Amino acid sequence: MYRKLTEKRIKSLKSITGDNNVLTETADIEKYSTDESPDLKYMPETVLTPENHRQVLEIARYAVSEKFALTPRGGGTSLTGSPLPVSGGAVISFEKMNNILDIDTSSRMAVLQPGVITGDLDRQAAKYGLFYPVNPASLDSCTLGGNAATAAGGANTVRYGTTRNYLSGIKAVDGNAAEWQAGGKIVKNSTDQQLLQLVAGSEGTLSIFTSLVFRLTERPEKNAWIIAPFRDTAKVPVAAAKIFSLSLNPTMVELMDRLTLDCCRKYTGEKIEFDEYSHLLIRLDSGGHLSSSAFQDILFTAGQACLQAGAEDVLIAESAAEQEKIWKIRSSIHDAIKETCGSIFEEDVTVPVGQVSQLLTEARNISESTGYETAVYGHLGDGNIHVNFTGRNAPAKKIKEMKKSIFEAALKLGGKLSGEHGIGLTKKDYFCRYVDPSYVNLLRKVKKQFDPENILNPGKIF
Amino acid sequence: MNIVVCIKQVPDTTEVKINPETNTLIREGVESIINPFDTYAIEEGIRIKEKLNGEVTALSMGPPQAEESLRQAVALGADKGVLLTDRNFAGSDTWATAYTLARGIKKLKDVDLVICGKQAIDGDTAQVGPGIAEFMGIPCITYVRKIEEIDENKMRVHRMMEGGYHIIDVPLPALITVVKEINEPRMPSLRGKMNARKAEIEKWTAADIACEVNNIGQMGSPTWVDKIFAPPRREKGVIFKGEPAESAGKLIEALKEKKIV
Repeated sequence: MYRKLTEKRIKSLKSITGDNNVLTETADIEKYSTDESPDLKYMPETVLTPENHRQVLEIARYAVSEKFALTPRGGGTSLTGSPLPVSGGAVISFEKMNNILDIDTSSRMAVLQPGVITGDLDRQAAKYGLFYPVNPASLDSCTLGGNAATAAGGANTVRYGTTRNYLSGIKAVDGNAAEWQAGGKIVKNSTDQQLLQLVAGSEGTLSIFTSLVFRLTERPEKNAWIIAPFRDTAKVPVAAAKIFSLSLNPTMVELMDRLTLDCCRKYTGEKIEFDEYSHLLIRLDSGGHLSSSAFQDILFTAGQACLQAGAEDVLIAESAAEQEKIWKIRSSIHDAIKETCGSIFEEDVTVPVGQVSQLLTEARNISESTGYETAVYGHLGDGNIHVNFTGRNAPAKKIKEMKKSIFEAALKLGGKLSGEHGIGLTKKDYFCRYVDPSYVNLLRKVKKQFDPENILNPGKIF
Repeated sequence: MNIVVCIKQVPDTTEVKINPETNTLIREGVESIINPFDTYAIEEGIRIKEKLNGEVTALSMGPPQAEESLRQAVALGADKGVLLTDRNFAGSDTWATAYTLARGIKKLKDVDLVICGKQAIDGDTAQVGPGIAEFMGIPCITYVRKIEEIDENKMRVHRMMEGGYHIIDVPLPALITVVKEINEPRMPSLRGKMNARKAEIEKWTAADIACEVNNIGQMGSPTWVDKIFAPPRREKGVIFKGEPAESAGKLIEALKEKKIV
């Protein structure tokens, strides 16, 4: 059992962080009681907004000695309840630890605090001709600390990989209130890299990050979107497979089905050509080594492959204004579905790329048998498909059945429960049911080493 | 229906560089785009063509690299592009530009409708469209936000005004300048882009369109740019706070100090 944060304890916390960094009024802490997952609400007893590593360390020491829970929180964009304080205690929000400390252009590395907004890192990197390519849809509201804690992916994964591929160094505090660090501004590391990969994706259950190092890469100079509308959604992954066979190294290969597109059109107010169709979106980037004409050739090759695969037409967006419009539509999906059709739940199952067509069929079958229409979108390039069951006020039993069906469909195809949202709270039961028990036991042992008193983000994952 | 859309290639930035000697824009090294207002003109031309059949010609006056803008117009659906390019056109003001474009349109023959964007984002004068109409001796309607009806002989358009709009019937041939409210430009298609790559952009010199030498380029331009400069920033104002009598007193003091009263 965790101890409550009495006035005396709050006073002690204030002595660590200063009065301004301890929030206790309901009006101030209410927004930390939810994230982007539907129907979850857990009020913290307090919200702490530390300003530096030392304060985080002191908070952890105090939490260990007094036995109260600490739940680290980034931008609050989780879809699984992972930053919600299910056992009360304190939420640690990194909104005041949001500085990029160094962009080392010679090493192509950025050192930063965990509260930096992901999109801000890329905007800063761009000033030096560099690129931070990990691109979750919540780019402008999620934080890099949160991205590291969930090993966030996003639409660029097919070409650039996930947060794991860029996280190079870490400074952290574990559940023993011990500080530790690993990695650095280095690309290759066979010395202390392993722990980095272990805590990446651990959803704040093993350590609290106070400083992070991310690798940056070359910024593409040319980019364009190809939009290929298809009458039949089932043809979209077939066209995507054709694109992969051409070795064009696309940055994004995305599906937006007809219902998804319709929600986005209504929500953003943007006019979308071929809005009665399902769209295959392909983004292609190139460095300066390629001439404009050679880049055009690549666009033409990809476009023709889409036409051969049955696309009704192919549109090519090269201007900044056109590309901004596409990304505005693409990145609005989650809110667009929620606001226009209602979202009962969304799962981001992941399957082998070659099984995406089959997964789409399974999703359609579940939709037809339950009567809840699905809006399906996601990353054809890496097999991570978001299935959103639309509507409002579905019975809890029905939701459970549908979730079970979609998870089991993915597992049957050799997939996993989540490609990027993580397990958090909402998938915890399914994780424990479907994942090898001996694997979960090992995770428990790891947790025990890092956090013997279960102070850090208790109640998550398993 | 023969439609001509006049387009201008402009720098894709607001931080344009000025040649201090000639006081004209330095276009080299700056990425160029079609003047955004002209993209609405292209779209409107294509929509009319799709409805009534006919041909859309994109026309531009500019340096050789302006050919790229014409190819983009073809990618969007224009049937052909014509570039008026000649060293003697350099330094043209709005009068000389309008004259030159009107000469180009004359060579195209039997033009029913000329469409321009309301203005270019670099010069912001909004003079070239009406100037072309004047040289051609045809009606001109600026700030068109809607073409309500159009056939081979006439059209009815809505001209935007402050707080409302005019409905104007006009016989063809005519020239209109359009505002962004008129449509939403489409994205280029693969087929359009491939057509654009293959398209032969015709290039006409001053001699090809029989220009009077004294009417073109810097020599034909009655506007002489003496100097281009960024206006000095206005100093931050002072707000006197407090009770009315008190702040009025402070204001009087400040005015006296500056010897204004």
